[in-house]
Amino acid sequence: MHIMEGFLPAGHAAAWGAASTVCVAAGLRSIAKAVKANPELKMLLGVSTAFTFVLSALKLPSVTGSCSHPTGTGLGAILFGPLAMAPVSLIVLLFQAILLAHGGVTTLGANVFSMGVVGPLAGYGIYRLTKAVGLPSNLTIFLAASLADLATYVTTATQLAIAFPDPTGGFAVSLAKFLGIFAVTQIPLAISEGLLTVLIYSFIQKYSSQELSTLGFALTGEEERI
Amino acid sequence: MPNLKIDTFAYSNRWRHVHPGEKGLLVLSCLTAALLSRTVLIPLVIAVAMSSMTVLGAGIPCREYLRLAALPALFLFWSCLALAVSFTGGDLPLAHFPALSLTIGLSRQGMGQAQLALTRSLGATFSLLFLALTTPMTEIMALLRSLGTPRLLIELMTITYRQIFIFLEIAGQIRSAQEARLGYSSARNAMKSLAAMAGNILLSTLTRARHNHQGLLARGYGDELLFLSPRRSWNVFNLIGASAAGLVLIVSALAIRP
Repeated sequence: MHIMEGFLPAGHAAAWGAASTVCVAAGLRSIAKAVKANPELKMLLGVSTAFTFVLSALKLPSVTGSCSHPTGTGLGAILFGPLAMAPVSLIVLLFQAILLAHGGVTTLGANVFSMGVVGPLAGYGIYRLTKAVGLPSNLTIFLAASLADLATYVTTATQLAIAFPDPTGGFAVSLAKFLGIFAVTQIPLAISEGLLTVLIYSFIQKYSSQELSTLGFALTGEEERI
Repeated sequence: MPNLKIDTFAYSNRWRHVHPGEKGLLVLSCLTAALLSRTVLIPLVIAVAMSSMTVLGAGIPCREYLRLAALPALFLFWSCLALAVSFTGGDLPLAHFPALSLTIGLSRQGMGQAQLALTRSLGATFSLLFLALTTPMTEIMALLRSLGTPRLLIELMTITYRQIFIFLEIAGQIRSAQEARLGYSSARNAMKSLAAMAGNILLSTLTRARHNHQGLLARGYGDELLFLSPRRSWNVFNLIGASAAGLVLIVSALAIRP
């Protein structure tokens, strides 16, 4: 879920922009380091960014019948690690704003923070945690992908509630309102994205783990991340 | 499949040959003015001015323009609903649930907040849509590069932009093949088909990345992708017009208080 262009007041837009700039810079630095060791990685990341954009443009049949779009943050964080996702989602969000009129330039900072920083961190954290506990791998992937989505949605609602506190009830009431109103689309989305990610992951594993491992991805073992 | 209409218009509108810096300057100052204003007046002026410039000036067909603007507008109303609604009664009670001791209503303060956010967002959206519909992505990226965006980011953007269209075409082909085999006949099938499509595209993503890299290496790829960007000349009148309009808007946004 993206905050619309111009929806946040100037101060909030600038503050979230600054926070995201730091994260994107850290991500770019780690990518640059990884690219130096393995030059092919740059192309791989660029192509994967395009994949994320196309994935987010696909319509997903959702549990309640409404249509939603997968975000791909969970899958990306599992494949590339959470740090690389900040620059990747910056590019995806910018392209969505300009090519699809979805989201915006002034709210880019806030959106990158929720989708490119909090979401991937939550997804990756859950992935590592559930893996360490020893849950079955399908459940691990499902939890990582859907909780990454939920974390993104809660962050967005928080950002909106900070910007627009309720006149009578303040921040908490406003947060409850935003969470409630966006739950209609976001909770079904999180469930369907979780299911879709499990299906994608098992599809890749079933048909082409060989090809993936020659490309440097070992889905079953320990992966090399940025 | 979404067919990125905005991109098509960006290459085929009347204002394509205007220097991207001039358009960028105007849009940036409009965005700033819209965000800074505390009344609905300035954002509304921006929204009207930008949409009429896009339709009358750049020659984007009115119907298509409205269709493109409809989706963000829908999202916007959904978001503004949250601002206007109050669960503590408010000034305009709509429904009362005694069992939950809950009153749903519209609060006047919340309505004011929603009004401002709505117009501000409309003004900003139409400004961005103006830039998106008149300036191709490649020129926006060239503009960003000259403004000092890190090279690595620009390069990733360039690769992404090229690949998006390739993937959209592949996705469209896979989709029609799946549809012909009743791949989307039920929600369950649709999920399966989508996963197979995404998995296939992801794989071709990875192989394609390797092929692209090898192809570029064979052509002397060092560290940077270099392109010739079309030479655009600055127009003094446009430049003065854009900066004057931007200045007036920002100053009046700061000056007009509710």
